[in-house]
Amino acid sequence: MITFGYIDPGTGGVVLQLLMAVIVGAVYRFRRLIGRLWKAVRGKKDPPSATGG
Amino acid sequence: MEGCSGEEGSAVRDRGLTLQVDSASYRDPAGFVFLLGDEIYRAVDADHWRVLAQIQESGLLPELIHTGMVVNSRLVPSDSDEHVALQRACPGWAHFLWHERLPVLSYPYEWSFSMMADAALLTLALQEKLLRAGFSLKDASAFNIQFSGSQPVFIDLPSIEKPERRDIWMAYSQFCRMFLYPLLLSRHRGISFKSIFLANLEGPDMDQTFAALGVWKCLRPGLVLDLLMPRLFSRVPPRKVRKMESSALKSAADPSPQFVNLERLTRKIATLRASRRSSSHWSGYGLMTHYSDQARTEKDTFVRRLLKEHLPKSVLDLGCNTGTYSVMAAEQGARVVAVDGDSECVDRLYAEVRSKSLPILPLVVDLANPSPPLGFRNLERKSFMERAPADAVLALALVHHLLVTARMPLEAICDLLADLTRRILVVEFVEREDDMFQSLLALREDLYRDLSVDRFASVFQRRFDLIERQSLTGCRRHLFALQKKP
Repeated sequence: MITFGYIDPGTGGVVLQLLMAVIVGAVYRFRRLIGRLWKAVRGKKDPPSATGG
Repeated sequence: MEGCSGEEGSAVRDRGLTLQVDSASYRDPAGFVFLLGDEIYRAVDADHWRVLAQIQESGLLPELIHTGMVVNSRLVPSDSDEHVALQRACPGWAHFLWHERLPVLSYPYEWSFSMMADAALLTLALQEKLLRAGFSLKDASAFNIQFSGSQPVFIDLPSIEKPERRDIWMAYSQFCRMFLYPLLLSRHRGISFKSIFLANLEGPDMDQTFAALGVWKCLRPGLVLDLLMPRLFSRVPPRKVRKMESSALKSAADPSPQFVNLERLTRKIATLRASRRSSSHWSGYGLMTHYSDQARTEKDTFVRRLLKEHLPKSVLDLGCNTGTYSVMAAEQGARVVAVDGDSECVDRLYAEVRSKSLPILPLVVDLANPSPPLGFRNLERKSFMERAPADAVLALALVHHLLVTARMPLEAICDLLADLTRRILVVEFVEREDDMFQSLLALREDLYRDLSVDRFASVFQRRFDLIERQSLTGCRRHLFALQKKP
């Protein structure tokens, strides 16, 4: 829970930041997803190494 | 928790040391600041002491002090004699901080544009560093920043807390009111910080800023995020906000969104700082030729010699303009407060003293209407006249401006300078026939027909003894070095 201190955090500022948190979170998750997909595609394309089993 | 053994602003005697509680330090229940003897201390409650001890142990507090972001401070060890004396003076309080005493306090309504921007950037940089270490600023008041010379420093250590959530900054709205909105109003509407903060010490709210900037200005991308959207969202009922934040609890520990916000605000303030106006009517005054080369040399030599002979520890340069004589006093080892009514002049001087790291505090103050005492019971913020007195005062090419522009009688100007001077006053008298005096008079030709250098000398004799006087060659200007009468 948000603990309101002796200053007024202002509902407008809090809502804006919560929205930004959602957007930033979504962007970060999307970037991670793309990264994982990229790795998976690269892993399939890479030929087995000479020392590999 | 009991209060200290003296009322706010009152003094008590404790084993020979005078204890005085800072009358501005009462809002935050986490503690209060007081003066014991000549030292500044702060009583802190157990919760905030724990946080401060953690920051100290992590090495962050020493780093912040070393880099000059936080005022020089130390936690008073509980097994020291100092602690015993402090507890005796403040029964009921168990934890104390010592702070280095800043020579002169200044307030946001006395800062220039760049000073305000630098104070904002310091607040953001501090929040970013604290957030990385798992802490946060619980408020973002501009009054938590002071200037040590030209260096902004954070002074309110109990404002640091262990936050409930790290994705959002609870002090964001206060940061906007205290720093961003005043900067925007000054930049886009030319509204002075004085008129902003004297009207409301908490800074302008969103509605006032919106009304002053106008709808079209607020539709600019830079303002939509920090003004228009929060203003729209402020209509959301608090119970819905609580519901929203409860549903976003999963992300509460992730500081990434707040880092993005802090970075964005830092860029915005830095852009605003770079876009400040660079000239005003008086900022080119120093380049104007009121003096012949010889007169200029004589004036410089007179002031330099006086400073050398009397070695004042503190100097107040009134009407400093570009700060030539402030720099001269600083080079002689004095701690200088340089004052001018023109914000652009002060901004230029601030840029110079920042680049040279000189011990000069430039402030925007109108001497015809200096900062009054402000805040609750008029006790929170001290008046300029209470904070400013110095060992030596320089009032060079100032008196005629107060006489004509502010219409102050010569006797009142003498009293003003006597109130601000502890020992030495170096004052310049400009005759009525001088070109600058005439241009200030404009169409008011009948004013000050009886003004003469002899009248000036006799008026100032009431409060000062003459040390020496010199008339400058080739112009109608005279320098007086005066000693204040006891």
